[in-house]
Order: sequence, then structure tokens, then C-alpha cells
Amino acid sequence: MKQEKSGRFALGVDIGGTFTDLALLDKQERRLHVGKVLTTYADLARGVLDGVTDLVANAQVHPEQIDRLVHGTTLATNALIQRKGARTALLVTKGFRDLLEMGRESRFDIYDLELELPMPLVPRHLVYEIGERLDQTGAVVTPLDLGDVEEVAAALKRDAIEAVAVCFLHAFRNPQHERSIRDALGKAVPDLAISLSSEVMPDIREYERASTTVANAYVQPAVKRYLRRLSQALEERGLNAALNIMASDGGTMSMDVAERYPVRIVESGPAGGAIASAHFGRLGSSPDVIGFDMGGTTAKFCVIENAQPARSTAFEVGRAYRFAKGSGLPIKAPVVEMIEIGAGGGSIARIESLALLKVGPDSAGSSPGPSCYGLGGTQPTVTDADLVLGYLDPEGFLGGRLKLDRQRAEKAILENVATPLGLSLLRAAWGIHEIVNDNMARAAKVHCMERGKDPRRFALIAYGGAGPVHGYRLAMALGIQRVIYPARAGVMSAIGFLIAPTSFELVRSFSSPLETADTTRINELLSEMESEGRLHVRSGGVAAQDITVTREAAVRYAGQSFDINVPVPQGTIGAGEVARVGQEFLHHYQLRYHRINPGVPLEIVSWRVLARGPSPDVELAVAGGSTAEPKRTRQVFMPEDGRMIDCDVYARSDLRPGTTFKGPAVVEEDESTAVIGRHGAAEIDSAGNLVVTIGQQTSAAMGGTLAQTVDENVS
Amino acid sequence: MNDSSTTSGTRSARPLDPIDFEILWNRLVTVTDEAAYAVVRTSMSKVVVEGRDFGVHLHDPLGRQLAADVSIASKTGTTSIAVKELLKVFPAATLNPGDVLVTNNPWWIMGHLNDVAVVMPLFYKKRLVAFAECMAHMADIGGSLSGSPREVFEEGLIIPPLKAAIGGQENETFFAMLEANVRVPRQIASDVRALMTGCHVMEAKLGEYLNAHAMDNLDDIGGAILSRSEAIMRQSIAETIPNGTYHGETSVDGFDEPLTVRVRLDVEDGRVKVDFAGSSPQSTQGINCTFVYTHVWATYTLKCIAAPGLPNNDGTFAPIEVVAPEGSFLNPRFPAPVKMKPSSGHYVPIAILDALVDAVPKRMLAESGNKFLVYVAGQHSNSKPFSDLMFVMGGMGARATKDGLNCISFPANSSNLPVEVLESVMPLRVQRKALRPDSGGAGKYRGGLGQVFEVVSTSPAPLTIRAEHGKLKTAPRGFRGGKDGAAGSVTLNGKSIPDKLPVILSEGDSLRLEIPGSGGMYAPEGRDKAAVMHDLETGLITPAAAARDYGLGAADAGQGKSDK
Repeated sequence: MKQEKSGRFALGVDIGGTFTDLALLDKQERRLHVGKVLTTYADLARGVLDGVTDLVANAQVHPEQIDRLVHGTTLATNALIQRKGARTALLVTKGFRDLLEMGRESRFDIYDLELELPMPLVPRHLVYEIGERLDQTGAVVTPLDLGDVEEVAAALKRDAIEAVAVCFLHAFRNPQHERSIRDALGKAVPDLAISLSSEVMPDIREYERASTTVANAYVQPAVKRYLRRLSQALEERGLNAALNIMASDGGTMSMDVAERYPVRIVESGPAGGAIASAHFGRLGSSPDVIGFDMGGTTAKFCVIENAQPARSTAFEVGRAYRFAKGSGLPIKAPVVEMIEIGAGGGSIARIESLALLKVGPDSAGSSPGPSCYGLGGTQPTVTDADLVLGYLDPEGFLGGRLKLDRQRAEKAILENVATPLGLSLLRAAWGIHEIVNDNMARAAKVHCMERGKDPRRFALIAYGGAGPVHGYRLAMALGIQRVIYPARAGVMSAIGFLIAPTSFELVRSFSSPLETADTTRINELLSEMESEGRLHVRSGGVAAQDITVTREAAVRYAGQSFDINVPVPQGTIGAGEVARVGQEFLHHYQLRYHRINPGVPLEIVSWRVLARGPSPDVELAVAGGSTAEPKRTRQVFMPEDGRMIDCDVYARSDLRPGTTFKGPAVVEEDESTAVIGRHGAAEIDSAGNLVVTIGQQTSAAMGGTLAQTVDENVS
Repeated sequence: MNDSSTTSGTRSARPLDPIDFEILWNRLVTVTDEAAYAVVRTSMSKVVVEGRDFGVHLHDPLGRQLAADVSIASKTGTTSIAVKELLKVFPAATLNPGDVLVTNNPWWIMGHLNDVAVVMPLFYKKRLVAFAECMAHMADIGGSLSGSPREVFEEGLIIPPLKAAIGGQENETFFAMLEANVRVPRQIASDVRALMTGCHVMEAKLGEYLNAHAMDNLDDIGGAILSRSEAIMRQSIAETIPNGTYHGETSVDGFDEPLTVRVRLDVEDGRVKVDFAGSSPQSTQGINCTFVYTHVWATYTLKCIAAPGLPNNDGTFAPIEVVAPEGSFLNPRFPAPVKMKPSSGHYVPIAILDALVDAVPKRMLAESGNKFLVYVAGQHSNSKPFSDLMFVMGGMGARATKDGLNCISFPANSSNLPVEVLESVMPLRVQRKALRPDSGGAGKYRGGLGQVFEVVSTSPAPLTIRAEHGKLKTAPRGFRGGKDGAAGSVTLNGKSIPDKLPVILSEGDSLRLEIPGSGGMYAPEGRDKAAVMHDLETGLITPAAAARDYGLGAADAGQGKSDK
């Protein structure tokens, strides 16, 4: 194991869909050097290595001076989505071969007769039944049949299987059979990657656990090969710091842990964005924020309270189908809770039955892309509308790397939207803009409602290529009054990586009435979980004394389906502590639902243990310019005026902290453009963030202005 | 607050343009979405939270439905007439803020007493602007568990039109009466309160909506939603279903003898009349389907075919007229028993699809295997009584352009109970839960497979199980040359027994359910050979079936195997 050294620099590297982002932190000067290279799909490591080489050269840093290296990769995600993982088999309890094929036996859209469900990662003929059975307490009903194992071992060799997932019924209560079969198979078939459900996600519900275990096995060989190659290549370039891997839940893991549980790194990029959102929110004195990341294809939201992103233990991958819940493969793993909808710069506007304008969820992507890219796209997109409205500078898109063609954008909108609906070009363009905003607002509202949150008391952090263009109007539609546009938004995830602590979370099912909870068993379970968590965090280079462990119990009224996580005190649990857990639950329940149900018994559903190292200190010196003046003006559409008006255009990099100005205004930076409406008051805060406060809104503006004031003569 | 004195609902004098309209419509649907989450979060029942067996609707002051939740609830397409009927008893002018009406009349809501609807008048600026309606399937509504009821009176508590709250104060008499008549009083009262919470959330969110858009009422937007939806549905039907008269039918097992669902569709320029004349008379047993439930499934089917993405409201369903002869099992007279209405109502869509199979070849599916509803009651080892319900799915029929789906219920949707959860909450051990090879009817597009589900009692005390299925005895039909899927069965310790009737299991007794597969689409000769080979390799069909249905020779089959 490589040791963490004390050095001057820390490096975060995030492989994204289009770009690989790098953020190099100079801890001494509190400066950040950033780099961006194209993601190299054929060999992801090459892009990383090129980017690192360039960045250290540009920053004039010796690789040995880098003492912390945090990496996030889409490798696992891509393997799952594109079905390019290992040839994987699944071993199940006899009688349950069709576990994966059957799933939850549910349709996610009841009106769609053409519905398709996700294909399992393991085809039916590579699922093998093993004679064994446990009951619901974990007691053995039928002992493991090792004769079956020999047969299966032969079949695995014959079928050239690289990875195996094992998911036996009730194995989360007793891992013995799964472990025995690993030992036996490990001997019989060398080099086989074996994932056990009792280790990957020891939680009740066999389909979700099997799906997760299979996903883990499926990506494991590729992740392992990649990480080994990358770490070796980095070492050859003099970069000796231990390679830490970003996990989906906003913590980092050692390379060893990531190789064992690659299913935990699937959502690493978005997690980095969430961690950075929390960080920038806190710096901007807004610990409660909604992170809003809008790119070319999708928009993502995460709710952050007290600077902590909301966490979940379940998500789906490969939701290809209209972003509908249930259309992807379920994965149970700790994750920053996100909602993602098909709303981005590339989202296509089209007219559906009888003159209804719809925007998204389908996207023109980056190829052919929006019409204005001039790459062959002819359908009108959100980016085309934003260009026509003057929000984007045709010469300055992506720092001038891509020239936008306004005429093509106009043509696409006129032909496909304005003319068929009998609207002016501007009304149609503004309609596309406001409908995509409304789609996002609706998703965010429903998400907040589901969590019992009121979006109006949050600030919005807008980033991603299209986030700052839409952040202001989205905030209005949600009733949010404060929008933060973080500095260096283009490398948000990579910055988040640098802030993330090393951590490992464990969740164990344990259902018991609160009143009669067996504290001896609970203490055993908690200490077992704690040792495992500490072990994994130490492998990330954290000293034992720097590890903190927090524990929670998931509690609910017996019979309910939604539980609340309640903090559990340190040390040995006795009857008093259990009672306090109950009181804490009632306190939180009252806060959330405004009522309690007297006389209804409580139950504990599961326990959660989070072991984590310290959060790295990342206080950046303010990077700012020297001016407070706009660099020019340009014509921009403002719905309150109903027409194009002359609007101040600021260059973000020129602005000095403390600068204030009023909307309407446009603030340009390389990766994006912030569009500020007439009721916005902007300030560059001491941390270099652009913070916009949306002032007194008219009642009509509260819900996002309807364009009833649009001047129909302007076009 | 807007103090505009305009007579129009919105402050803009000019008519809404298509974009304004689209946004206002979406936002009104979001009001119901938000209320739906409030219901789910506060409910105490698995049937609501996991099964999503509830609905949230917004009506105008005349009782016309304007919007329904599209996010989570499954009773979104319901055409409940509860609001209109309640208004006959409690005229709108007599209602005050904070009044909440309640009823569970099966002839008004969703066909049996378990479905309870709560309706609240919504006021804005002291004027009635809308009604909120939240309804859910209650986990229990009292009534007999032992026999087969012959009248609705035996099926549980009947809640006549009542006020569950008056001016914001709960009606204690109502709640006392409710709690005294159900087996799990705390849970059921909590669920009725969850519905009331949904109404209150809708009131708050509708107030925000009207305020944000400077409207005084929903008159303009509501009228626009209804007329636009109706126009879209008419146009969609006109584009999808050619004018003409179509006949279709299917059968359900019934109790003693099969019952026939017979339908005639008259389609003319986007309007459809759906007439169930000729369907069997009402049954003495609880498999009758009240007209409102027949109506739900008829409109559901036509929406799937013509305009699956269109939001639900009264306008959407206006072009569809449904009639069924009074006294038939699809329009039974009070006090007919109706508890098992899924076993009849779920076949309304099958008959309609049968009628349209040649007219609408592109949006079609063959007959499906539906699902078992399995009621289990007994005692845990600690003598605590329990009573629960689970679903076990059959196959969904082959579609016009693709295979059917394995173990997916059509038309009603739900989720299974995971084996590990099942064994934790009831004293049963699942021996086998597996696809039934060859149960998907052969065809160019193969029907979805059904499953075999086998449980053994581990309870020293006797268990009562009632497994209910609408159509087990006859095979789900293939369409347009596709072969039939496999029928189903129930066996107790290896001996065949009828479904729908309660059976007692002693410890070690084994109950085996074979759930039907589903029909294929088009003749099997047209099936892509690679698809046949794939089915063979993955074991969805046996070599014998591959030879019989697809003419696959031993040589081909061998090839399939050597591929492994």
C-alpha cells in the first residue's frame, strides 16, 4: 500500500462524457490550475495521462509534489450502458433461475403497449442453479451441494466465463454458502472474478441484490485492468501518490476497495458535482442548496442541506427509456441522490398532436447536435433557441472553439415551431426556452415534494454548459430567490473530488420492533460493520486516529414504508440508547409530517455505518479580475420587455470581487453564460462566485413569466 | 394577491397561445403530482405505497375531471363519477371550506368496497374553484373472508355519502364507525387521513398556482384543457382507427360456467361507441364488474391504442361512449356482489383488442395471462394474526412489432412481492418461482411467458389461501395467426383444485400455481430464425416446441446447443 505523503499539490481527474477535466490544487498558494482534454474513449487512460502531463507542465509542477490523487471514471457506467462488460454468469439458489428475467414483474408505463424492459446483464442460459437453501432467519434448510459446484465450474470453463456473481436467497443474513462456493470456485477456476451478494450489497430483496451483484461482477475485470494500468503509468511519470477513487456517494476509496466494489463508482462524476455544490454553497453562505447541472442531453438535480448532499442507497443505470423510473437496471449502492431528466442544450423541440409544443427528452446530442452547430442537425433545439434569444454569443461558444450559426437556428425554429403554430420567431424561441425550464421545474418540484422539502427555501447552484443560461428562470419557476454561479464551474466534479473525504458506508438490514430490540446482536452487528468500514478507509491512506464513524438507524412506524434515518450515539448500545433512537424518530417525524401517530409501535429497519477520513481543506484564494465594468452590450431577449433589448455583457474573468450590478445582464465565461433577468441583482462574492438575488417578483413572475407580454411584431 | 377585476380567469385579455397553454396545463397536472406524493408518504398500507393502488384527481366545480396525477398513482385513468354523484347529495352551494366528503360506493368509484374516495371542495378567494378527489384501495374494509358473498352487503362496510370532516373538524362519528368495521382499524383510518392530506396539499398547491398566474379560477384553463384534450383524442382516434363497426369477444372462467365479454365498437370520425350488449348476465357470485369499472377499462384500452401520452381528464375520454346492458355482469344491479371485479373487468380490454385486431394492426397485443391475486391469512408463530395480498404475474401478449413480455400483467399493473420479503412476513416457503417454457404462444412475435410459483406452508397453525384469477381454464389466444399461450392451474399437494375459493393449508402442504402465458402474434412461420435459436438456447422454448411450432430440425437445434 502506498502511503499518503505530505506534499504541496492535490490532483482531481474526472472523466466525463465529452471532456476529461483536471483540477490541480496548490495548497500552499491556494491556487487552482485546471485542464481539459477530450475524453479518449478507445483508451480512457490515455486522455488522463495526456491531461496530467500537460497540466503539470503548464503549472510547472514536479509530479512528486502531488501527494493526493483522486480519480473518477465513467468506465463502469459505460460498460453497463453499452453492455461491454465481462462475460458474466450468475449462481442462484435452486428453483430461482429466473430471478433476473422476472425482475419485479412491473410495467413503468401503463399506457405503452410497445414497452420494453431492460435486458438482464446475464442471459438466462448463463444462470446456474445450485442446491442450497437458507430460511428467512439465515438458518440452513438445505446444505450447499458441492457436487453442483463441480458441474458449474466445468460449465464456467466451457462457456469462457470471466466473472461470476453469486446471489443466494437470504444470503444477506448468512453469507456462509456464498463464501464456501467462492472458495470452491476460486480453486477450480483460477482468475475468475467472483462477486458475492452478501458482500456487495447485503440487503433484503433478491432481485435488486442480484442485479447489483451482477453489475459488480460485470464491470470488475475491466475496472481492475484499467486502474492497474493507469496507476502504473502514472507512477512511471513520477506521480507516486496513492490513487484514490471517487465513489458515487461523494466519498473516495482506495484503489483496492474500488476494484472489489466497482459498482460503487458508477455515479462518481455527478457525486463530485454535488460535493462541489455543497462546498460552493457553504462558501456563499447558503448551506441549503439545490445543485442544478444542465448539459447537452440531461439536467440533474441534487438537494443539499447543511452542506450535505442527500444520499440514497438505490438508483438505476441505463434508463434509456424517456428517463422513466423503472426502465433501467436497479443498483443498490450508496449514492448521492440525483434526479436526471432529458432536458439539455441538445433537447429537441417538436410539435405534437394538435399544436402542443414539446421539448425533449430526446436530444440531438453532440452529433449532429443543434442546428446552429452546422454539423448536419436540422431540428430546433434548446441551444438554437438560446442563440436566437441572444443568450449565447455565436463567436464565444465553448470559448470560441465552436462557431454557432444563427441563421440555421432561426430556420430550424421557424420551419418546425413558429410557422406551424402561427407564432413569431421570438415567441417560438422563448417558448422553447420556457418549456424546457418548466419541464425541469416540474421534475425538481416533484422530487422536493417526494422528500418533503420546499424548494423556495433553497438557493440554486447552476453549472454545466447550459445551467447558467437557464438557472435564473428556473429559479423563478421554483420560487427560489438566490442563484449561485460558482467560479470554475467547468471543472466542478474534479474540484469536488479534491474536497471529498475518504469514506466507506455500510448498510445492513435488521428488522425488529424497537421495543424488543436485541441490543447484544445490535452491538455485534455495529462493531462488525465499524471494523469493516475502518479497514476500507485505512486502505485509502487515512491514519486510524483520523477516522470518524457515524451510525444511523432507519426507523419507521410499524407498517409504514418510508423510514427516517436517526443518528445513533457512539459506544455500546443499551436499552436507554434504543429508547432515545425512538424519541429522535418522533422528533424528526413531527418536523417532517407535522403530526405523530400516538400508540403506533416503531420498528428498526436497518443500520447504517459511515466511516470517513477528514475532509481535505480546500480554501481557494480569490481569483478575480480588476474591473467592474461590462465589456460591451448585445441584443438579448427579455420576456418582461417582450423584445430584444440592449443588454450589458460582462466577462466573468475580468470581474473584481465585490463588484455589483443589476440585471438584465449577461455574464460570459468559457464554458457557459449566465443570463440574468430584470429583477436580478448580481454580486461577485469574496470567494469569486457570481451570486444573483432575484428581487421583488410580480405575482405572475412567481411561477415563471408567461410570455403574454411578448411583442408579436418583433421577429 | 391580484385585485384585478377582470371577468376572465387570466389577466391577459388575449387568448392563450399554444405555449402559454402547454405550460399552464403541465403546471396544473403538477398540482396533482404533488398531492400524490403526500398520499404515499403518509399512507400505512403496502397496497398504496408499493402497489400504488390509488388515484389523485382535480375536478372543476361541475365535477368534470381536469387533471390526474401522472407521476406515481396507478388509478390515473379512472373515470370515477364520485364527485358528480356526491354533488347530488351535497349541492356545491352548501359546501364550506374544510368540508371533506367520503364514500366507497362501488357503482361510483372503482368497482368494489375497498376503494374509498375522499372529495374536498377547494376555495380560492372565498369562491369554490375546484374539487380535489383522492381515492385508494384500502387494505381491509371488513366483510366476510370465509365464504363467497352473494350480495355487496356481505363484502364489507358500505360508506354512504358522508362528511368525513366539517369545516376542518374531523367527523368523529364517521371515524368511529369506520374503525369498528375493519380488521386493521388504525391502518385504515390512517389511510383515509392520508387521502385527506392529499386534498389539503392540492388546495395549497392550487392556491399557489392561481396566485402565480394571476387567475381567479380555472374556468378558462379548465375549459381549454377539456376541449383541447377532446379534440386531440378525436383526432388521434380518427388517425388510428378506421371508421366502421367492429365485433370482439373473449371469455372469463366465471364461477360455475364461463362468462362472455362481447363488444361492438362503432367508430365514426374520431368518436367511438363501445357497446357490451350480448355479454353474460350478472353473476350470483362476486365477479361482477360495476359499470364505472367497465368504463375505466374500455377507455383505458382506447387510450393505449390512440393516444397513450395524452393526460387524463374528462375531455380525453369524451369522444368515447360506453354502454353495457343493465343486469349484465359488466353493469350489474345493486346489490350484486362485486368484490372480485378484477376477475371480470380485466378482460374488457381483451375483447376490445380482439375487435380491433384487423383494424389497428400496428397498436395491438394478443391475449395476456393476467395475474393471480393471492390472499393469505393466518397466524404467525407468536399467534399474531396476519392478512396480506400478493400478485403473481402471467405473460403479456405478443405485440404488433415485438415479442410479449414475460411475467408482466396486462391490463392492470402491479409489482411482485420479493421472495425474501414474502418469507419474512408470512409462514410460507417458496420452493420454486420460474418461467414456464413454451407458455408463450408461438408466433412471428412470441407471447410472453407465464410462471410457476410453488409454496409450502411452514406454519403449525392452518393457513387460509385464496388464489384468484379471471381466466385460468382457457388458453390466452394468439392473434392474427399467432398460437395460443398455455393456460394455468392450481394444484394442492399435486391435486388440481379450482381457483377463487379459499383453501386451508396445513404445515408441509404445497400449493402450486401455474400462471398462464400469453398469445403469439402472426403465424410462427414468419419468426426470424435467429430469434427461434435464441429462445431455444435460453430455454424459453423446448426443442420439441421448436420443432413443432417453428419447424426447427434436429440439425438446427444441435447447432443451437453447440453455440453454448
